[in-house]
Amino acid sequence: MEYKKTVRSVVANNKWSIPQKLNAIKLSIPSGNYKDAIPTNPLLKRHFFSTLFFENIESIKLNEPYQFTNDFKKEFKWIEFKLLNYAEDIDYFIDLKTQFETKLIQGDFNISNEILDTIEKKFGITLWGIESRLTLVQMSQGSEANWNLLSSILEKMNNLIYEFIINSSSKRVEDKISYDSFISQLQSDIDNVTDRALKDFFVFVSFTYANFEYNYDDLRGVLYVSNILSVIDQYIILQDVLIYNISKESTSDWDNLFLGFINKIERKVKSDSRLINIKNILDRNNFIEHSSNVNIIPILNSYYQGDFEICEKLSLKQLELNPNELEYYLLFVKSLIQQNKEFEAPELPSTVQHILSNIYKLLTFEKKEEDSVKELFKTALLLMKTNFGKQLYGFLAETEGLTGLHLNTATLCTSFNSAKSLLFNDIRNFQKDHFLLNAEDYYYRYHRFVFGVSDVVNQGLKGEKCHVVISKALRYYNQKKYSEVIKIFNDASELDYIPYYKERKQSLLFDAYVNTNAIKDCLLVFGKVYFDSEIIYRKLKYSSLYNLIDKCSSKHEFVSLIEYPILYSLFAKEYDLYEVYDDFICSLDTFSFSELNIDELINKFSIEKVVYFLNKVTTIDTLKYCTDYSSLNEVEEERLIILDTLLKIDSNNKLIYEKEINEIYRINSVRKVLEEVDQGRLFIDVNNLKENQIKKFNDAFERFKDIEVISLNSKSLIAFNPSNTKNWESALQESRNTTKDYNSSGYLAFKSIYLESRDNFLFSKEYGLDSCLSTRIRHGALKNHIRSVFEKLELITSKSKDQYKENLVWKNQLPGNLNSFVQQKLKLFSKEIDDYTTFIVNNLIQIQTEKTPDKRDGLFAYITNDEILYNFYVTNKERLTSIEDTIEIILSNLVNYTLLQVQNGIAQTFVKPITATYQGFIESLINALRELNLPNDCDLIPTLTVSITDIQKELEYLSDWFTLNTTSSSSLLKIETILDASIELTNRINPTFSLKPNISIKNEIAGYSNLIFVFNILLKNVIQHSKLSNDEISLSINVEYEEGRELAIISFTNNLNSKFDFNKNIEILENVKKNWNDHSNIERSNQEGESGFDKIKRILLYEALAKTEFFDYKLIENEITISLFFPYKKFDANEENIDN
Amino acid sequence: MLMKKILIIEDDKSKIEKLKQYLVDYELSIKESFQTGVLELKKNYSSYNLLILDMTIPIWEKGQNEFGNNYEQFGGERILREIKRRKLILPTILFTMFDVFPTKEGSLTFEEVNAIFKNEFESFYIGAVFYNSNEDNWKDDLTELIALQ
Repeated sequence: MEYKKTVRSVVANNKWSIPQKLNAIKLSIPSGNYKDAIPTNPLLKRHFFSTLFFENIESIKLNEPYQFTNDFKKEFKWIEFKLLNYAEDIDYFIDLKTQFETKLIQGDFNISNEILDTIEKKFGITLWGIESRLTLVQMSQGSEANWNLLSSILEKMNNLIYEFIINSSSKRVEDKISYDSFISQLQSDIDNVTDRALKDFFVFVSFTYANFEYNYDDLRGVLYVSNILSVIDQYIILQDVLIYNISKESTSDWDNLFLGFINKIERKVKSDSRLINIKNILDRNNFIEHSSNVNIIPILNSYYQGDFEICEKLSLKQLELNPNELEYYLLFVKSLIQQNKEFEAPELPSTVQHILSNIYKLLTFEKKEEDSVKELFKTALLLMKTNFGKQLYGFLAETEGLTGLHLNTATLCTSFNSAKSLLFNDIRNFQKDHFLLNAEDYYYRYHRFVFGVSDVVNQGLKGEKCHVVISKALRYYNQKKYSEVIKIFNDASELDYIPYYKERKQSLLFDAYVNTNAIKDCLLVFGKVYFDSEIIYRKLKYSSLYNLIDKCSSKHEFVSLIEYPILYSLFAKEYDLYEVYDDFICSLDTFSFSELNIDELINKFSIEKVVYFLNKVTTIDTLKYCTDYSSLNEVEEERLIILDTLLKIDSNNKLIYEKEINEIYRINSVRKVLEEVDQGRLFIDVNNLKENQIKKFNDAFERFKDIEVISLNSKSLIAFNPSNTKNWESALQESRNTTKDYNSSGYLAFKSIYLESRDNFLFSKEYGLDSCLSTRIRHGALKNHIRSVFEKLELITSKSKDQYKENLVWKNQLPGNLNSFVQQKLKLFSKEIDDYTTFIVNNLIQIQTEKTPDKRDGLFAYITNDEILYNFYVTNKERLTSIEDTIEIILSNLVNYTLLQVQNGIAQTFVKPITATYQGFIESLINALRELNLPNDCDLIPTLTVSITDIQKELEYLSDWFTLNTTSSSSLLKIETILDASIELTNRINPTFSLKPNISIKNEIAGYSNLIFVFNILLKNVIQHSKLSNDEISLSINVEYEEGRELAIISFTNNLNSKFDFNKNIEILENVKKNWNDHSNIERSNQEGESGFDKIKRILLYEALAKTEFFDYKLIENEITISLFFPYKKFDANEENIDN
Repeated sequence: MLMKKILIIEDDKSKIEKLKQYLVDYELSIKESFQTGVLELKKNYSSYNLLILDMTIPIWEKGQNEFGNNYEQFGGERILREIKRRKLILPTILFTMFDVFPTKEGSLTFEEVNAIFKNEFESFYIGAVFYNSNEDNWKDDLTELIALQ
């Protein structure tokens, strides 16, 4: 009586309101005392039982849920006490509900509507009522009416919880939303719900069938939240929660709690047939028979005795009267199948016909009728709130080989005493005794026999031979006598001729082999059923065989079966599949794929299996682990041979194989182009440079030659050496003779040519090294490549208003106290990476000469002095006979110096000090983080560790960019390949974006790889200037040929963020268009931060030699198009190319 | 018998450099990918006395696959499986910079991975050494494991 004291003190507390007092009672006294405690105070009692009645949608409020106790029993008892007070109302409601459901399936929509009106008048607006009205409207008038009703409800409604469920209900019943699509939409909706109990509630109420890992696995959270709803809704949810807990069979802990409730309510709520089933399952001492048994049991008896004709007739008759009982549908359909009759729709309401037809198709297990399952799942979803819907879902689960939760739920939702209650016998072993009461009925005797709880069927098993064989096998299976199952089926080939029996035979046989560890036999069954072209086997769980093999240490018994790698390909990939593939081919005494004799394989196994093996097992991802191949290219070549074989032996799937062949060629071309691009990043057109310099320095050379001749004939001419002003100090230390030599006019004339030629080599706006460095390396490419290493691993963030953003990936893995410190460190890390990368671009990837003191860190050091130059002059003096030779000698010297010294120095700098600097940043961050003891499930330190190697690899790769090329790429490429390569390159260095443009090529044209740099700038503009996220960008690229002007036009069109003002961008584009043919400021292209269009202009003008006088842009609403025009000549029908 | 010849399957240049500096008394052969590592084992495993194996390695050597993912997060484990499957038995030490290994099913600690490998590959797996470039503990750990052979 301790609770009374608590109640007294709660009631006496004047500071508390009535709800606060009820809350205190809910929390502090034992749940068994609620019923006694609450009535002790009239105010408490009145408040507790005051159920809200909502006259209309606008008036919907939430009932008080009080505090969550996190105690299943307390939450259950709290609601139980409330419901018992309204038992009579509930009974009336359930009666009307059943009538509504019957009329709904019978297609009597007017009466259904009237019943809903009656329920609403009596019980007000309920969640169930709204959902049922949506179902009715959908079934009677279609999706548009459903959407209109939803819209009118949401317009009036002002409650988020109701809105969530109703919105979800509308989708659930909508015929355009498939079962799978509904689940994925619900999943995405609940992802945003953070409250654990509310999340459970939304899932359970929106999709009762969910195989969801509930936060509270006994659904105490669902019960708690249901307090906010009307009493009617609370009853529906409590029953569903109770059935869920009994059906999942993990425990019988709450059986007494549930039985106590059922005993109290069952006498008052007569209309709820489920209460009888639940009571029979829980109560070992009593067994109640349904009054409807009288209708159904004789029909069941006739079926199991083999009187299929009678069964067909009787079940059809019952379907007219009682379409809410799934068993009638099954009896009718199975009778047809047993009599080998085709399905002809009986004269019944269309919903019933539709369900019957789909069940028939499903039970014939024909592959061509696969859609019937989808339709039935959708029907079960539509009718989820009805007992019929739950029965149908349980049946579908059973056809997929799933027993347990859904099948048990279905059994509890029947309106008769189903023999499947024996499924509950494992935990509640008195079930078998209940059915002794019905010993006269063959239906029950048969099931007792099959479930293995009795030894004989009086008068023996009846029916066709197939039926008898299956029944015996089922009995052995249920008794776990698997070897007996196997024995029976080994002598039962007659079952293979009827799909209905063949499916059952193979399914049971497969499970029996799994259970007896007979892997080889099981694999053979797998091979038969997987490649059965007519029958679909839903029950088989191939994963059980896979798991068995995975644990098996000795595989020699089955390693030579082709089914072994085929099975693995369903679950494993990459190395895991390779291992099995390799074991298999070795077992055939072949040690590489090329040794395999395909014809022999086909003879040994079957063409279907070999085709599957070649198609799905011997893929690039499998073969790449094989040491027979020394590069990915070789693996791809092998795969092409395999695809060629597949084209010959499986021409029906020609299109699939051709698609893969094309994809391999495409990837291969893109890879080659990108390799070419990387190798040719540093490109100086030495031939053009030579040609220009010969013209330019002709006069200077003649002067040089004149001076040489005069110097030979008389005393040496001395001139002023401008270098002396800078090298005065060193000049003083040099011998007078040497100084005199440095001042010789001949040397100085040569020096003048050399220095000008060098500067031209380095800084020519047309062909110089600096232009190349700017457009191909400094212009974002290098920085993005380095940054992408860390971006891919989500280790650095970008800036917003000069501040680095928070790193949300790691924030989600860290507790609040650690997070702020880690974020600080990560921001600093982002800054270190960016600052150092900027330093590399702005200071290291620069050209250094004696004239550029501001570039003293530049790795491209071309500093010379008189000593070096004079030596060079003296060494080559004899060969400086013509301007052509002189320019050749100077340029060769510069090229060789670049190739041998500069390039090597840069590669070493990238591989050593630059790598060490980045690794230093990473390691100091790792060390700082180690001291913080980050949680075990936080991957930050391992990810940073990955970046140590990744940055090393990336810098090693980048160091290859600095190989100087003096001849341009000569391979002509399809424009599609160039675009693909450009997109691949852009996506690679912008890991947070993945551009997938829609490419339309009206006329096939070709070009050279240097166009990639042009397209890269346009793609970069899309990413940077559209102000849209990756998902929002819509980009299309159009390629066409304009015959009149002989132009190839390539246009990039993308959308823009409507919230931004693009006037400034338009101003820039207008200027680009206006000045497109003005080449005077082209050197601006060498300055970073200047418009990318100057760089495009320069590449087109000097590298691609493909600039025309045209450039255009177009802005229509929020869509911009940039068009480039290329000179294009058609040589003949087979030879076309961009004229570069 | 004195340890003479060691095969190292490792792609990290700085780790290779450190190993070379430390293991001066041994004849070292370096392979930098899964492919070249397995090939070397298949051809010459019996000529080695020890394998030092990194966990995360590329499938191909540089230049053989510059497109797409070339990394095997558990490439070291794949090589251990190849050794066991092909019976290329060679005493092996795992040499890794990772103290935690993220997997789809949750993270595995260095110790957990070591325990799993000891169990799975007990006939040739000696143990694991954690490499940290800032510390020299790995040298003692490596020496200790080599001495077990």
